[in-house]
Amino acid sequence: MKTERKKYHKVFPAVLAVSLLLFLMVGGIYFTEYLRARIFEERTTQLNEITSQVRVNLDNVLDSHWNYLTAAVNVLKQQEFDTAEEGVGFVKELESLLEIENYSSRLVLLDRQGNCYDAEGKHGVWSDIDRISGGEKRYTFITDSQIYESSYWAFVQKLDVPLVIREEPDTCFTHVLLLKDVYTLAEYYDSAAYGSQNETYILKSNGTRMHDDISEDNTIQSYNVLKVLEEMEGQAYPDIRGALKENNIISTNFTYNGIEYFYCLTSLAEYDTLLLFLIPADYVASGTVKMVGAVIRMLLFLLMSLLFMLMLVVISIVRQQSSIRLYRQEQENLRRQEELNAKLEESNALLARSKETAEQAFRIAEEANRAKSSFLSNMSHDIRTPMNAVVGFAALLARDADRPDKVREYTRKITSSSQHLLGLINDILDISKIEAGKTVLNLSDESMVDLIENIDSIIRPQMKAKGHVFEVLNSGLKHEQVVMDKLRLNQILLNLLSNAVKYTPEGGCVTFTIQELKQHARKLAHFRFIVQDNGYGMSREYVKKIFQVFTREEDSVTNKIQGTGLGMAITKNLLDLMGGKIQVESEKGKGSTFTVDLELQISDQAVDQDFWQKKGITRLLTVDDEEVICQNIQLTMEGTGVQVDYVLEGEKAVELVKQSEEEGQPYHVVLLDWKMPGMDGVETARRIRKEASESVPILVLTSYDWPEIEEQAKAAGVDAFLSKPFFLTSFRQKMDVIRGDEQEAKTDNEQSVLEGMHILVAEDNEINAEILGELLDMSGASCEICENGRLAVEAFEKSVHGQYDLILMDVQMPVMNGYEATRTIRDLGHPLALTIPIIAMTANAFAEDIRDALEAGMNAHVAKPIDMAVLEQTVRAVLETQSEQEY
Amino acid sequence: MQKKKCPVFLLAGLILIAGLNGCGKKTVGSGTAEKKETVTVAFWSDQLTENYGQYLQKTFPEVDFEFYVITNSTDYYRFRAERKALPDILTVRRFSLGDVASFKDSLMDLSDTELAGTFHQSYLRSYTYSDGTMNWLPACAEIDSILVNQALLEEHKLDIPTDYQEFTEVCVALKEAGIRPFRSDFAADYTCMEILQGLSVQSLTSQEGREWRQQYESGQTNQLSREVWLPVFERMQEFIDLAGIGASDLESSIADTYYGFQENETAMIRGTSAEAVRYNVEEKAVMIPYCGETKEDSWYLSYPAFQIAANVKAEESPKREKLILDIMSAMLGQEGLEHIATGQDMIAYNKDVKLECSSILERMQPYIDNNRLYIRLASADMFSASRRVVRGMILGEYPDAEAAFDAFNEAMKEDDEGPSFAAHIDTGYSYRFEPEGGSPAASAVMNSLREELGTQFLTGQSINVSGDILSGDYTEEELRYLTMGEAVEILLCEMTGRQLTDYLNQVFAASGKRGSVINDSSLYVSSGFEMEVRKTDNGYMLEKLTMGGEELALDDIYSVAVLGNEWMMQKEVLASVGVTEYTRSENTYKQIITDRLLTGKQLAAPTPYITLRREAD
Repeated sequence: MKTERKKYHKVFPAVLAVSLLLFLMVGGIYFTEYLRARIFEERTTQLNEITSQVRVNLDNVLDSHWNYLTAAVNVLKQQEFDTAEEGVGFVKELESLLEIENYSSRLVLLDRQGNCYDAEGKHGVWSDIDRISGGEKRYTFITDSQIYESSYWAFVQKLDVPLVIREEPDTCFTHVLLLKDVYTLAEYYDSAAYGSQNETYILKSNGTRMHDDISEDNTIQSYNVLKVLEEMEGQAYPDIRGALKENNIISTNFTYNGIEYFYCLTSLAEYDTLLLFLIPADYVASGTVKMVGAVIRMLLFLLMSLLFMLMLVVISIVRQQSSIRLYRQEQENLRRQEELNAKLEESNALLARSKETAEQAFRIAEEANRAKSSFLSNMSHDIRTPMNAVVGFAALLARDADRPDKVREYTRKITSSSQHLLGLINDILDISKIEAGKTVLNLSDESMVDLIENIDSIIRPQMKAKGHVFEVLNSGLKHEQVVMDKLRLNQILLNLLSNAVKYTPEGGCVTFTIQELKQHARKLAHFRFIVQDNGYGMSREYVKKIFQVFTREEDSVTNKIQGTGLGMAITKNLLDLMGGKIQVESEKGKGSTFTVDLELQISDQAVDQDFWQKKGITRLLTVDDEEVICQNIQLTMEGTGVQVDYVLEGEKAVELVKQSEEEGQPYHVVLLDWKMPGMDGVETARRIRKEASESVPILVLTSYDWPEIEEQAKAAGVDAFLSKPFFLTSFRQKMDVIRGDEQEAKTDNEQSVLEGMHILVAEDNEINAEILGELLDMSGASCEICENGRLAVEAFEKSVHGQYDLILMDVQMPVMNGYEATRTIRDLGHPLALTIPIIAMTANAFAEDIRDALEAGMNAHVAKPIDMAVLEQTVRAVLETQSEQEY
Repeated sequence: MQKKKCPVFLLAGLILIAGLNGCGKKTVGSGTAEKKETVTVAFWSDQLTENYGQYLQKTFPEVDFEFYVITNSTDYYRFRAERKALPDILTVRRFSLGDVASFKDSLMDLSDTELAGTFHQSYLRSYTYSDGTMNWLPACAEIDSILVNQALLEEHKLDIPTDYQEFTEVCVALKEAGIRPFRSDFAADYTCMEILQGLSVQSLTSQEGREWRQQYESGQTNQLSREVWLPVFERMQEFIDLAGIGASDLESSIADTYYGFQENETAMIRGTSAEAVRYNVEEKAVMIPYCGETKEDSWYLSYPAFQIAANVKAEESPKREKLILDIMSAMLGQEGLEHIATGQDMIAYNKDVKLECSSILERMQPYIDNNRLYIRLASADMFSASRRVVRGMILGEYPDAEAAFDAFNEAMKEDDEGPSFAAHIDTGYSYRFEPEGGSPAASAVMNSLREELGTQFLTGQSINVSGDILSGDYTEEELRYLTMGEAVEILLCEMTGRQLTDYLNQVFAASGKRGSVINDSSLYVSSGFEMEVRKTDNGYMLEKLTMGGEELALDDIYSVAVLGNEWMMQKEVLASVGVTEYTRSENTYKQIITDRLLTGKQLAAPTPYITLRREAD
């Protein structure tokens, strides 16, 4: 619309100007044509009037000559001549009488042969004799007589009766001529009105010249004048003679050789003659033309003035339009400038934001730098502190070596500091690995129950050490066997629980809840782990950056607590790697709650669903004062075919067991909580054994260390202890144990698995080798140390069957590393080459290291520094696995 | 038909010429840079080949003129106009406005031209139609009257007669002296007519005579007025007896007449100044008027040497129209008129032209001053009737003048009969001259003539053939239009090859003669042999003669027919190459061709007879 309006504003003045110009032009042309037509009309009218007058005059003159001739003929008729001479004399007398000479005229008699007789005598034959031989009585024309040197109007009267000459019978007069000099009639042709500028043509009615009067001055020099006229440019009459028949007089104009002429043509029909006037246009109605010319000049002046004014108006409009256009253009420019400014401002804002972002980034970097500096400072402190303890106590140990109590004390402290130092190093290495993107998950089918129990076993002592109440809760755990990186998940949960231990004042309360939520996908089990404490809690600001590396809350209390500031970052990163989520809720002084959501693939390993039926267990009684726990057990046992009843008191339990026995539908297992109000678990067991059933397996479900009451409980009839929370797998294993008492007893009494073993150790570090040797020795095992892989291979190759029970293989060694040595051993032709357990023993403790070790043919992996408990557990697992495979 | 066959002929000609002469030679016209404007001019007589044609070609070198000679009457043009085959410029000797009115629209109207304005207007009236149009313009007037051997009369002490009485007396005296008083070639129609009218001019110019003439010329009557014309026949009859004119005069030619005059055998003859010069009698001849009853009633007989008109097609292009008018102006201008005949003793109609008069006309001036120049009544009917009746009167076929008068009127009526086709020409031929082959029309006629004559060879000028030969029906009279109207002789002789070569070189080089070559279109035609001719700045030069492609044996003798004017060229040229013995064909050229066609035969096929090369080739 705007563009159209703009166009309109541009076009309108132009259209207006063009329209006005067109109007003026058309008007001018029309007016000019009108004037031209009027002038033409005026000129032709004038010409017609003047020519009519001339014609009348000429007619009168010709008539008067005819009158003369008639008079002469009448006189002649009465004459008789004896000789021709008398005829000549008569002519002379008659001319004198009529005073013909005064009119430049002469009388002539023609004889039968055409000879002329005038006042001067006889002459030759008249040259136009043939023109009067048509049988007519009268002829009027112009003659160019050879006898008379001029052109004459000839008035010829044929005598009715030839006048015979008496003495010359062969001679008779037949015609009487009156000749009138043409040029004496010029006064009748020329008109003063034209300044004698007119040419007169006397023509025959067919358009040819009447007489031989062509001169160089004539505009038309041709014989047939009318035909020339008809071919003239701009001449109005294509058939002049036709036009002349309709109008006795015609006038029009034409252009010849660039000059405009007017002509007027009139007919003297009586004389078969046409009278043509030809006048240059300049001489026709010149006064009128001058006047009209003056008017036209005036009008032209007015027109020019009008045009000038019009131009001024148009210029004014154009300028105004131009101003408006300029104003609009300025407005548009302003608008554009504003837009530009807005964009500039936006850009500035963007720049400011960028700057802010940059500054923020800078701050973050600075903070990171500061955090890193702080971290280094902390590291320095954190590393130096345990190292200081190790070094210090080692020195003290040397000094007080002879004092066993001091030795044990110092050894315990050195161990503690070493463990701390080890954890610190592991964290640093972990976070470095994660940040480098090199961490990969080592997935395998694992038991969630094993994981929880392992954690429980690790963390519970720490809880106990700090006097915390530690409770592990299980809710709806259906899928115990899942695919996971057990080590990493263990690390995550231990991180959270360790923090809960550390950042909760002594005597606090820590809860570890494991829930299986509703599945989102059929093959994925949805777990939620909640670690809740009532410890120091965190500020809201710190909670926002708790997962950033190298961060620790600056707090007078927590600063005293050992920590690398990497644990939560590691936890977060590992969870991201696993596709899990972690949420933190914390309040300063009130504690923190960490919630981890994780979906794990359900293992394809079939669960033995018929386990309970095979064992003959179909009814179960649970006794706990907390109904939630009872219900949880009920929920967990769904689908097993086992009917779960529960009661909240020991008393009711005894009655129920008793009743079932009596009804012949005894319970096959009774689960008792240890600590219940009123009758506790041990007492309830005793009562059951005593009053109801001696055979029903009774298991005590407890979250406490049962060794304290183990003896008392067994005495009361308890068959086994089952740690809380309740896990189906643990329950089943316990039931297996209860059903096989011997094996259970054997296991319970077993010594260190390493005892009596002869172990081949590949270790290039002498200190490590020495320490390991001592530790193994402590466990009742002996060893043979090889400095590199090659030597180990050779030693094994040379060994006899059963010489070595186990090989502990360092990985990074000179000559031949542990992986290569393992592959070589597996390839040896030694009878035990494929079966001898080889356990990696390396400071390379990452998952990929474990995977590489297994791929090289090793059976398991333990990280340095060697924890003998871990080593024993690993060896036992390896041996058990081999034993199962053998069977 | 004509258009289709000409290219075939030309192609055949080209092939033949190429076979005879070898290919690759350039011929005249081939490769010329600019095509010339072609203008066809029909001459009323071969008289105009003497100087007039050359003058035109020289004046307009940029124009390729195509000349040919027709009959001397307007009938030829009427015939050609009906077939839309008029030439660009027409000339005619015998003229009557009534004879040309039927094809006036085929001609340019000259009334509005400045050329017409240069004429004395009084002369133009007899050429002007009532509507003002005018197609024809007259060249100068020739005086045609009686030549008197003044010396012979003086020898016999006789005066030159001034009136009819004296004329009869002189005739009687001469007869008594054994001299023929008067002789003329009554074989020609114009002689018969002029003498018939000339002897009675006084009657014909009387008021009655003039009034009858106007009626006749305006078509109101085709019968003679008894009042006017009976005295004419009476005078003629009287004159025949007086002058001793007999049957032998009917066979004599104009040359015979002049020969008798030259040899003082005859005292008076009908003639013109130009003829007197041509036949070398100018020194002894004095021209007197036809005598009236008194000296003052005597009249000289006069008529325009010829009239000129133009084909109206010229108006299709202004450029072309201007060219045609320029040529006509040249033809009617001072220089042009001076190239007609002797260029003197003629009266100009054009105001801008002044012609000299010789001593022959020394007696004429008073007659001019007194306007005693009688313009003959020259309608075609009048010519033919005059010849028939006058010859009849000479032969005594009419008992008296009245019978002759009646016979004349009868003859005038006969002409009213419609056409009766006597022959059909199957194939038309173009007159257009081609350097390779020549003119097909001319070749066809010449070959036909040779066939009829039975000679080995024949030569004749191409202009003896009257333009394109049109296919179609012809009356007997129209067949005569195929060939030139003037009497031309056929001379039969024997020549060696060398004489023939010399003869042709002579005629090619002839100048100012009757039958001179003007340009390519007027070259000589050979029949029975072929010519190779080279065109140079000096004219045409014969290079070789062949017969059927073989060079002509110079010493062999061949029978040859020569077509041409014996007295005004051929006799002299033949003599110059050693041929003095020859016979004239009994039949005339025109008659032989006409008779051949009347018997149902066609014209012989044209043959390529010439190869014309330029000088540089």
